[in-house]
Amino acid sequence: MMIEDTVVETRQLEHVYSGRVRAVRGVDLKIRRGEFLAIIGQNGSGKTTLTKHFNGLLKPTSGDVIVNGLNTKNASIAQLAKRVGYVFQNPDHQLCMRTVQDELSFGPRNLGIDPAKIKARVDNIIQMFDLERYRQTHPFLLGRADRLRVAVCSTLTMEPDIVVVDEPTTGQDMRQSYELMEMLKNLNGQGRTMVFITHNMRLVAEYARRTVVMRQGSIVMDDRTSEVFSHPDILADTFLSPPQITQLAQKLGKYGIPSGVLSVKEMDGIMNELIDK
Amino acid sequence: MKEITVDSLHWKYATSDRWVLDDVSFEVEQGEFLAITGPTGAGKTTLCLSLTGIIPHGYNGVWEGIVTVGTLDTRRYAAASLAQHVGIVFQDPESQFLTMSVRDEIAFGLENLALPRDEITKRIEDASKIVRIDDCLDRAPYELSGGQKQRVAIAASLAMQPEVLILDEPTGQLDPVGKMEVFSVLEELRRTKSITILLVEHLTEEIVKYADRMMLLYNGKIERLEKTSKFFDDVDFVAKKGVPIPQVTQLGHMLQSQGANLSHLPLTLDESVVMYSRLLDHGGK
Repeated sequence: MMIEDTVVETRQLEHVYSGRVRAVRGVDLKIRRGEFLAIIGQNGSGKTTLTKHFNGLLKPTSGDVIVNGLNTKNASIAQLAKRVGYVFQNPDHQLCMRTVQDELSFGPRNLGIDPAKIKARVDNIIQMFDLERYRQTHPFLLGRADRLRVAVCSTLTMEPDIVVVDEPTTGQDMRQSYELMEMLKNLNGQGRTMVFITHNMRLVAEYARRTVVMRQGSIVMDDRTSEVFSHPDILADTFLSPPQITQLAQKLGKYGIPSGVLSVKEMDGIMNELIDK
Repeated sequence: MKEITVDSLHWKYATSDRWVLDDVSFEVEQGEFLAITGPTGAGKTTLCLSLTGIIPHGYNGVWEGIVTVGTLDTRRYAAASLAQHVGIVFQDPESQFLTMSVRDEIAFGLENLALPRDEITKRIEDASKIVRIDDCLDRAPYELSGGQKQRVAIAASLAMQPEVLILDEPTGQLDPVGKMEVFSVLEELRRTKSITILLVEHLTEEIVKYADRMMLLYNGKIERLEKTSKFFDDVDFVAKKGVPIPQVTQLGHMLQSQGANLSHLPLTLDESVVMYSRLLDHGGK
């Protein structure tokens, strides 16, 4: 029996590429509704391979992936696309229409949704994410940050429960990365489950409530983000390190500063209290 | 000795409606390590291309001003002859790979210079040792990890024995280990070869450890060009222009504005541990 609020579950998931590369090795993972989850790990640790199973882009070599009670082995891409929106690392790999409006309509149209409903959804997303001025623009004429936003929005019009974003920072500067993360946070606030993959530990610390650490196809840690970053030794084994501010907190541990500090603001509050004493 | 002199450089592509580089002037000393930051669209890549002669020779557009690398005016020399003086490494190393083995990849530029076979062999050995890829010379570049690929691209540039190495966000797609591999190679190059390095990079927490000076490019103009120790003096200004502030520096700025007694803002983790320990030991207000 699956617990009611589990939206994605992998059971002993294995994925082997071309019969020899074991990219994912026996992963058991449960993602609950409304979570904001980060997956971190070195290049080649299996992050992307794992998440591509969530919407059936990849099927398990062995083991099972259950999405909203549906085993991906028996599900069509269309059934899964309704549940899981997947945003590729490179937005250009998924943009394929001539205007932003058509791009946003593309997914739901393929799901066979009623045109009036599609229009309402597209209008809603365009309004929500301030894309009106781009409605009739060709997606490839937009800057990279806006193309990525359109890619995210084009999954949203399918109204998925879960949105997976594979590295929201590539080709973006800091402000653009934060803008995109704010957009995901906003969606999470509306009850959608968010999963993102990144190498940017600051974004993980500031946005993810739970963090999964992968190494060589396996999960080596899966906990609250502050707890994960409290173990610099285990992270070092996976060639990762906590954000700079967390490292500072750990080096000042003898003053009673907790090891799981996640933001500059949090650290500032703690330092002020200690100085005032 | 000046290695690079840029004097009132203006450039716009045939398709741009404004200057992409708008009256840019600066000089770089031989052996200096200059980091260039700025938001997307600031003109960082265009500046890199302008220092290698790829702009104006390879692009249509309007150029004003003078760029001198070593003693060469880049407008008068084709990018090919400048390539012996200035090497460039792009964000995506695969975009510059042409061959099926690391050895051939490094040899490519050298063969184009028609160097003797022995000289080519020796340069391949030297360059691959410096970036620590000498154990994968016979592998295909596309089989390597991201950090290794980027080091192959750097080795291919190094083998040309340039006086200047320009790197345009070389760690953008790399994981933290890959990034550190690239930074440590740059550090070593500078120490052992005194090559002049210009690095475009957003990871300010890392580059403050290596760069002598930092430049903030914004809308095609130089908004700030300072010694690294002074670059973040005006934290609010730099942050407003979209440059990530090292977290320990940001913390110092907040504490200072709340009345803490700090002589200056720390830039690195090690420095900040010392300063903040002192603050906590003595109470600091």
